[in-house]
Amino acid sequence: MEVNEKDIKNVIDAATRIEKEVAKHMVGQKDLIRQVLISIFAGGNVLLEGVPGLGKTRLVKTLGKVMDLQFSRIQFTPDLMPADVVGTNIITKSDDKGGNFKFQSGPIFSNIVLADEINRATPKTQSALLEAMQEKTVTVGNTTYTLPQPFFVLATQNPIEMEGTYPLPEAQMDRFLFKLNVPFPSLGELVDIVSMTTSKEDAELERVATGEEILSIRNITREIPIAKPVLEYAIKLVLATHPTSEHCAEVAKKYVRFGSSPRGAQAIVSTAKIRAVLEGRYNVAFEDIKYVAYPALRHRFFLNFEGMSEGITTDKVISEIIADIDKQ
Amino acid sequence: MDIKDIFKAIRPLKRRIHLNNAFTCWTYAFVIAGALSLLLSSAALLFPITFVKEKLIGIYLGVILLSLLVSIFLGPKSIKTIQIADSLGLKERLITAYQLQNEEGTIIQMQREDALKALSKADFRTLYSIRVPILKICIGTALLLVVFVTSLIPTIAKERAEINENIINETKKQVEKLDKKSKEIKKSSAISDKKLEEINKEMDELLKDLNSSKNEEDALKALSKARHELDKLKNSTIREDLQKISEKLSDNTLSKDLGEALKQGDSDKVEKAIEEMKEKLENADKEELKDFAEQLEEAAGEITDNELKEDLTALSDSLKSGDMNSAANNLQALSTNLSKSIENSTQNLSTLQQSENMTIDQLMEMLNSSKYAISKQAGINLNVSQSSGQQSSSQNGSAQQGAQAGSGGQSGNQTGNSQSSQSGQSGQASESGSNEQGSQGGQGSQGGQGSQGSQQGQSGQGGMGGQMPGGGGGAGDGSTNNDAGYNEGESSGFGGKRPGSGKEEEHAAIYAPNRLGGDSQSSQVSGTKNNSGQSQWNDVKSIPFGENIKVPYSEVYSEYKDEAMSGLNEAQIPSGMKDMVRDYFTTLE
Repeated sequence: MEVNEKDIKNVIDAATRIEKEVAKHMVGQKDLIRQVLISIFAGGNVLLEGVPGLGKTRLVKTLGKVMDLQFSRIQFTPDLMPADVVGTNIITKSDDKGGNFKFQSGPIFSNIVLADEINRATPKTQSALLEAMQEKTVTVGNTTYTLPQPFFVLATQNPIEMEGTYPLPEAQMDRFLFKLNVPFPSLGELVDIVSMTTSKEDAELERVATGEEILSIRNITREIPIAKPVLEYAIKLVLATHPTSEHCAEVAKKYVRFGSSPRGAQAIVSTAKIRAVLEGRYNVAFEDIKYVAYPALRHRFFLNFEGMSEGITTDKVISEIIADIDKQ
Repeated sequence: MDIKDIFKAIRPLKRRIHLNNAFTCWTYAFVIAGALSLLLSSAALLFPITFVKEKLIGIYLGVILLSLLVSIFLGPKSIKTIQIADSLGLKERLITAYQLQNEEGTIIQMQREDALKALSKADFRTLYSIRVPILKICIGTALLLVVFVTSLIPTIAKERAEINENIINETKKQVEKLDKKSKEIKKSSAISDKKLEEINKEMDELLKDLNSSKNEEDALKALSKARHELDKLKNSTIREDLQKISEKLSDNTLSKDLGEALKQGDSDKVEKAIEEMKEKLENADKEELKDFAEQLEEAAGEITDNELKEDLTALSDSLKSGDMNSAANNLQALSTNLSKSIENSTQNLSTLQQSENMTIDQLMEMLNSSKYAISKQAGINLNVSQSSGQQSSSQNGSAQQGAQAGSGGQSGNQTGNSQSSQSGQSGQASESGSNEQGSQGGQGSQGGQGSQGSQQGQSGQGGMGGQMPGGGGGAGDGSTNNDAGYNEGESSGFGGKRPGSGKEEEHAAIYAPNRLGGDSQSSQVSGTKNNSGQSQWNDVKSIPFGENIKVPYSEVYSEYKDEAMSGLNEAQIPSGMKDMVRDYFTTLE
């Protein structure tokens, strides 16, 4: 695909428009919004984690509104069944008194799917999302249905320490491009949030981006070049999370049970390209890699008992890995 | 726009990086030179290291020059410059452009333009400052000061080093002089090619040895060796011929008197002996004549003088043929030639040979003066014979006079020469005497032979004032009372061997003290030392000096030499004696 300066400018404009529009409903969380946008432009799924009340659902709903895309929300509960997510075949009466099976599509058939509190459903139901998240298709019975494009799942979850939660299986975690931690707002932000939500009605949101636009942005950003040293840097980051790798960092050796899958490297590079464009560059820099390394890797490797017992976080491990590689 | 524009744009940064690298290199060199110099100057406090100041300056200059040279090549490569530029805020724009330099496309072009744009905006003067490594400069300066202070501290080792420096300087000076002389000789046409080649070979070897000598010991040793070798090159053919004839004739009863007369070198006696021999020949039977003729033929075969050879051969032929008239004529001719040869034994050398000897003498004199100069610097009271040249040169003159005068024979003449050349230096006088002896066959080499013994006896009486205990008894070791100064000792013969004719295979047996007590008994006497009491003794067998406890000297030579050389350095030995010991081992080689 031949990319010109105008295309790049359009990407930046689209991102700016969306961020500006989302900011009407969201106070602060600019970095979070930027990271969600990067993930959407890259065509990936996002897992938002945070305690209740931090605006996770509101953010996703806002994004659904500002983009001219079909939006659906699934509230995950312990009794939610896979068919409730993907849909099911139902028997319908026909005119000749016979009966036919007809597929009744579930809420997954949408461009933006909000999987709210995803870790409250059982692993069986969580697994119903696997095919949709990776292949963008759904198979019911013998039939495979293609999901509309663009498609991405924006899931929210409460920290697993909370009551009534089921940890997501590693295979499903790996299918999220980014895992974003939703931080608690600062004092000023909290003041604004309270003021905004208690004084007047929410501002009207406009649809500022279309599905085609998002698909186009995805194709444009793929053309951004990346230098070999930068690419190697990203690969080294992923390899360093493997305790058995020769590139393994000391911290990973000590605290990591198993490291990131190759999807981690793909996620870093694809999102780093988008971040570079949004920063006004035509090339990927080390700082882009470092920026996206946290959301792209933090859910892809798992701590061992020692790491968990010492209260080590995956972000801390990533920080030390980055510092370790920078020293070399 | 292509990558060349980017390369052009990063040149200022490249220069700054180069300058920074150079600064780092220079300061490192400064510190390293300081550290090395400190090591050297510290070592010089304890050990006698020569030319320390020159070496310190050399270290500083060498290391700094090396660093200057190295810093020329410390310019960063393009890729390195690009990486540094990227790290200064260009965010991998340059490395991406560099890696995509061979690719084309809109996005690639846009990326290059973006990189160039960012590059043009970058102010490398502020982003990449020239860092002067102050800390390293301070360390280097501190080291320099310590080195300076250390070099000022006086120690015994430094005093010794200073002496060594003087010796080395003197040696160099002498090397230059000798080199100059050597070149003059090479240009000289008054020497035969063969002799010139031999002299040059010796001189080259000497210069090589001197240049590689580490101390005065080595230098003096090299000079002694060279002098010894040069002395061997001197011409002495006729004398040897006469000696050979003398030996041959002494074996036959008919010519025994003639042989003795030749040994004594007395031409009158020779003539008289020939007259007597004529009568003997007339009365001799055929068998005796035949034996005598054969001996004459053998003698003719051994000598090199053509005239004498012809005379001997003609006499031999006439005796074989039984023509006594012819034999008488030939005998007369031989008599004349022998007398002439005796007269010329010291002067009969050809002009060329004399010239060669003169040259060799000059060289030897130079070697002596070199030895004297070096020894003086080393603080050794070396009584180097300054007269050897004079002696040799006068050998052709005054010795001849002595011979003509016929007073006391050859050795008397030699003593006269020695005395005349010594200018009243008694030690040197006796040394010269010994030199003469050496040139004639070595001290002790002819010992035990009555006639030679008496010759030496004459020499001792005439020239050395009785210093030579050999006296008339003809003791072979008559040279033992040479002066206590430096003895050139040309007489290197051992056990009756002729001197200076290569390695001797026959060795004197040397008593091995470590084998002492093999068969003897040991006894211990206990008691308290006082003036009274009884004494007690045990008889033991004599110390076993049998053949089984003697070893050839060649087996112990190197061991003895090492012991002696280390002893020279460690023990308190009079300086004059050191050279004697050194030279003794040199001549043995």
